[in-house]
Amino acid sequence: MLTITNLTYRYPDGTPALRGIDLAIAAGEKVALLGVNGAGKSTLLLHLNGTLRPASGAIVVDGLPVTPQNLRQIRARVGLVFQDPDDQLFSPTVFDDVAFGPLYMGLAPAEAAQRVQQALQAVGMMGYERRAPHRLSLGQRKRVALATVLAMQPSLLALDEPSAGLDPRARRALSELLRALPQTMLVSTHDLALVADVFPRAIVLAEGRVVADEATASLLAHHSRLLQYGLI
Amino acid sequence: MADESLADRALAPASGIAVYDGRVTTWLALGYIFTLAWLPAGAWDALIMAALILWFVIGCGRIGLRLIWRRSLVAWPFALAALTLAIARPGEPIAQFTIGGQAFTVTDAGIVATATVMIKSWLSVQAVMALIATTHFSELLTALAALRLPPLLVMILGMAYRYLFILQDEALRMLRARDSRSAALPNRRAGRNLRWRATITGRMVGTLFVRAYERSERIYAAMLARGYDGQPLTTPPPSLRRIDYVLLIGGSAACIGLIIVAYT
Repeated sequence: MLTITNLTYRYPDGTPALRGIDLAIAAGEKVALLGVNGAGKSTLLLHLNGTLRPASGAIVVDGLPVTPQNLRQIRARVGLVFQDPDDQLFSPTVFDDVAFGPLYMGLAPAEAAQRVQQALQAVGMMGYERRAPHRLSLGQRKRVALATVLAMQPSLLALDEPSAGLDPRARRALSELLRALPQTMLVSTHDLALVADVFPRAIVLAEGRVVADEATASLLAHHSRLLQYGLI
Repeated sequence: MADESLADRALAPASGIAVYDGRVTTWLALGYIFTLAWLPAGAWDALIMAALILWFVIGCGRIGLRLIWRRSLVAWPFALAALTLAIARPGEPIAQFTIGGQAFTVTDAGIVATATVMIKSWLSVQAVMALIATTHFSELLTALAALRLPPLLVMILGMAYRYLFILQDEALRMLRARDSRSAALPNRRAGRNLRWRATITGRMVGTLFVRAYERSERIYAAMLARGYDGQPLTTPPPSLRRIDYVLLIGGSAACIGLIIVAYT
């Protein structure tokens, strides 16, 4: 589903952000991406749909390489959800925001409306179509942000810290939602409870490198390693 | 993002002009622009001297003349309005042309006036850019306050500058989110049509406005929480130093010199 080979990236000021990332994720896998702030998690996710272009290396999603020529097709396959839902939601109503992706892809309005209903139902936000996103709670905005990409029916979900700022109830609801979704997932998070709940595999980034890639249960069982990676 | 900001350059200590007080550089930049405005049409000697003085200052400031020239191109579309002077000023006819059955005559005095206005505009824009590149925005505000601009207006300008970058970042993040969902399916035409895309962009602008408005409410609440009572607080600026007075006197003398050259 996702193959990343020797991916490197430098910020415009020359600071290295990703240094030779290699990883492969099979279809249907749910993988947590862990690491301290500045480890390169968000930068890696932004490469998956071509928002950032690597200095070197290659990314292949569902058999299609991420190149400037393929960006539109890649963005139909990779649903990227930003950490702050206010970055994700730019329309005056929930319906408009969720419908944007399907309509842009050329779906007929009726089909797009159907996709909106399905996506909102999946995230438990039916009945909020005419609401203004900025009037919703953070948990609700996060759900709508997820719906905006679910409506595009991507094969890979890339979520950036989806549980950040959520209260325990909203976090539990998110955890159940992520478990229920069938898509392949790569989710950046600091929330080890969420990781234990949802993701059988965990990848740890440190200073732009993969320093661990293993079963979540094995990683969480070693307190000293969690300390070493700055995860607790 | 990769483009170099002139305002950011003011933060770099490399500028040779940055050692002077911002009030002096601001006053001199404004004085230079007023002097240019005062020069009569066709005062080529004074205009050449004015350009040389400005470019010397830009050179001393280590700003990069080429950068200033490139940025000053933004003024040209506005300066083109001066082209109408070529046919509006009475004088010796040079050429004639017809548009829509209406005959227009270009005069020698009109050409001189047009060229003068365009050169003045170009130099004025360069002076402002040199000022921005060498003077921190906070110093510009101090200079404006010293010029008796109402404190409330100075505070609004300061806050606008502070939050402009936040707004810019917010707009960029919205554009990034839109691009992330601007996808295409095989054998389907993506992007619908121009009208739909324009509608989406319009709504984004509206959303940005609402967010900016709500942010302003939160900022105001935070100001009230820290004791703001509607009266902007200002601290007295430091006294000018000897080198500032030297620059002020030297710059003023140069401006007066330009006027004398132009009118004698």
